[in-house]
Amino acid sequence: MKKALVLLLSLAFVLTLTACSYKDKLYVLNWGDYMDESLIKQFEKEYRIDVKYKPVGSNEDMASLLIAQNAVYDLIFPSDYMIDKFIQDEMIQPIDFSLLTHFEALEVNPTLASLYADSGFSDYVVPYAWGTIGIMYRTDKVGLQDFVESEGWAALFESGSTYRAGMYDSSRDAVAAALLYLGYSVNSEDGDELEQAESALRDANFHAWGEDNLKGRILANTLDLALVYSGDYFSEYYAAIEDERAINFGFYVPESTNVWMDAIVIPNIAQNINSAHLFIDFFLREEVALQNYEWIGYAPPYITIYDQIYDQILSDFGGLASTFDPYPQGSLREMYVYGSNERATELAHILARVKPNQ
Amino acid sequence: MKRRKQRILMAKAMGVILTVMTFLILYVPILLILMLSLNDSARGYQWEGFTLKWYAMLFLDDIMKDPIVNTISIAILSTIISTILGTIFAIGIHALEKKRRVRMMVMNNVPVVNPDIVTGISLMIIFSILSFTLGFSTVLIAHVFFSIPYVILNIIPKLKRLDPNLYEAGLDLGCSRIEAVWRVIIPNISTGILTGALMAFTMSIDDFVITYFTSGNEYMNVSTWLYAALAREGRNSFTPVAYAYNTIIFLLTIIIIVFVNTRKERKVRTHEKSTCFTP
Amino acid sequence: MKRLRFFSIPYLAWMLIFIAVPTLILIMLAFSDYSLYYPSRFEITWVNFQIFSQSYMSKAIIYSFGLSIITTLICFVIGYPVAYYLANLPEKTRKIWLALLIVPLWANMLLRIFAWEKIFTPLSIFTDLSGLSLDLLGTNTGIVIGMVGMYLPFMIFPLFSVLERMDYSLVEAAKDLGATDLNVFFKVIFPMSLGGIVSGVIMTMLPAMTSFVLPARIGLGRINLIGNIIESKFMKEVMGSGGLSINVGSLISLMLMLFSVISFVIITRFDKEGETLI
Repeated sequence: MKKALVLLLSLAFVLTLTACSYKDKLYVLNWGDYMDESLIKQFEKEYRIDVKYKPVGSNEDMASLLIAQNAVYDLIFPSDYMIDKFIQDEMIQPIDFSLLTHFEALEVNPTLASLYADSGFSDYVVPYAWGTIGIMYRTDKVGLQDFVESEGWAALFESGSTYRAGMYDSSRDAVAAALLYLGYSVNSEDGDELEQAESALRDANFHAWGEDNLKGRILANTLDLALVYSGDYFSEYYAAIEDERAINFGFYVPESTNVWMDAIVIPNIAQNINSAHLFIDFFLREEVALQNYEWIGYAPPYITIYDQIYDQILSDFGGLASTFDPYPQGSLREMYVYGSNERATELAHILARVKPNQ
Repeated sequence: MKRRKQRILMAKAMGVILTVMTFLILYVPILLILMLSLNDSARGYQWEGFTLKWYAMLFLDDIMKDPIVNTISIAILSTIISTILGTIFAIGIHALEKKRRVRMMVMNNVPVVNPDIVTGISLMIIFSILSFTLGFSTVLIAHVFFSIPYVILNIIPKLKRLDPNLYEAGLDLGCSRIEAVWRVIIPNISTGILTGALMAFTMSIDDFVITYFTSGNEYMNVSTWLYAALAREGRNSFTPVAYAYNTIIFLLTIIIIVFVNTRKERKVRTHEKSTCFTP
Repeated sequence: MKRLRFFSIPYLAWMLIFIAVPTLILIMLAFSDYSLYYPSRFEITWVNFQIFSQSYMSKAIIYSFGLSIITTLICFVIGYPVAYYLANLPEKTRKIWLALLIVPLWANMLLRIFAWEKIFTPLSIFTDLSGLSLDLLGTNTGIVIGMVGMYLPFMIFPLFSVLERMDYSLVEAAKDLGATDLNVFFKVIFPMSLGGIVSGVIMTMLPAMTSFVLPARIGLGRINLIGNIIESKFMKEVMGSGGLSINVGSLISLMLMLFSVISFVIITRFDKEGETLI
């Protein structure tokens, strides 16, 4: 009995020891699969900093964790509208760009830069990725491709019982998709338009509500089409090639859609601010950035990197490249803004009401 | 008479059929997990041939190292702490007079009956009020918290079967109070302690909900890791190594049970002798 | 032994900190607009109760009760004969079968749910291996089967422990007095196992009713139970509500707690110290 106890205790002790290797830590709160992990390992080795990467499923989850303040987060990767809110509520701090030695050289895409400069983000963010939302679908379903390409958003909302459609279980995205389908602005605050969006979502009677697992459900043949982020499609495409699986899915971006941006920001509750800057700067090194963006599948916001990756997609996969550009010339894509707390609550209620217990 | 025999036979057949059904519904998912751990496919949509590479990766690659290390170290620590505390508390509760004992047991059973989600949220709130930083220590406290009641529930019945005069006899024969507990009471309730510890270990190693609400920026156990990975099911977030880990833990626990059960039978025979006066 | 009473005092303190205090805080949050994270105001109000006028909340309550009651009924109908059958096996084999019932609980709960998800997908690895094609994702049937698979052992254990300990000489006596088998069952065996039944029903129904991963995964997010709403209030809606969703979540948690207290009182009537709970 005693021997067993000593053995177990020492095992527990050894296990806790092996768990932490470096003294300095950096707490990163980010989306899952949103960074090439081998690069994080490389950073850990090079700077002797232990990176603790916590994945979250939505901007709202991210905000809840920050508000609760019961743990330190040094770097977070929120999207446009949540950055807007974080700045309003003074929850994030300005970035010290003098510490980012590689930032200048990379050159932010001017269209994107002006989009977020207008919202007053410039001092607070280092852009990380941008893209659109679109429809991912199975190409082995008879007639589905034509249906999606001719109907656009209506394909998602009017697939009826012919195809099984999936929708994002996030109030922002679900309502935005409905507003786009109805031809309204994704930031609409008009009560009547929101009501129409609600009934459109209800009538669509989606087969599944999910977060980033919707694409997986398409691959698993539980769904035929779903709302999916552009980069997720590319990421799946690369993964299928890696695994030597047949590619039986496509992606379509309807004419009117949104444009979104995720950026790296440092919250006020951060404690390892210097390491945070080191981490950002590491991911801005050209060769690191190139490898990282090739891995994640999302469009890089930096011209030099973007051009190289775009050219590669064009030469490797040809036609696929057309959906890679989040903001093609002449398009009028809108970015989400936070609006008010009342709107956020209303969106949450709409989502709760339209997810039916049938 | 013949009819009655027929009825008994039918009842027996029904018992067998339902038992088979029970085992099917319990074991089909587990067999599927086993097959997924042997399937040569990262996504597991189809059966793509036999492989052992996920088992190799479990030991060679550190893809799931942190969550596994966290899970096992919390399980071991919380089992040890809650078993020791639970044993002490159970002895204390058993010594109370009936009314207060029942009252204590009612309190004790609150976390057992309370839904996990309510326990998790209560703990999250109390940690927030006490401004504890969520992490390894809060998860450990939480696991000790929900394990103790099970340890106590396993020990109390054994204490009831214990002859109360045995302890007094120990004292009369010159044992100190603590010594008498250690030498007289503990050996006689050891089977209860052991099953209690086993239960505490099980609860801890498989917990999701309570860990989900009490872990912070750093700590992730296998369950919370899986929850995040399955929410995305992407390229790097989910790996069949999880199936391999699960299968190995599963086999290990079977071995532990067999081991404990055979030991228990041996121990019961040797116990009668171990008291203060025969050192 | 009385001198060992003081061993229980630290436990009392421990339980006050981790059970009584959080419960009081939950009550305070539920009945006020005090925000846990933006502490500024405190006013006693019923505003959090508005959640119950939302149709999605009442639907979630109806579904939570409905699905968990059906699950519990199925578990009972399967579990009682199985517990009875196992309890009457010879001692050696009985132990092995019981251990085999416990063993599946060691497999990770989330992975088991994920395995059910694969089983319920029409063309999956399960189809490859078994030749069966089930299409039950997003259906109530799928959720109920998943729940039965998760919680059936919790019904069987307490039933087994009362049936095993039961005094079978009473059964023999009743038979000798000429009672029919059915009469023996309903007049003797069933009443004597009531304590186990109550524990089994509660230990199956409560976790089934409050689960949130299982309905989200197997229900494809279409079927919302109380647990899903609580999770959303604590994890997703905090910012938009200015922290007040925590209060609403506390109110719903309190409601669940009240329900478990009621069940608890029922258990205590049959089994004062909760020995059938494990």
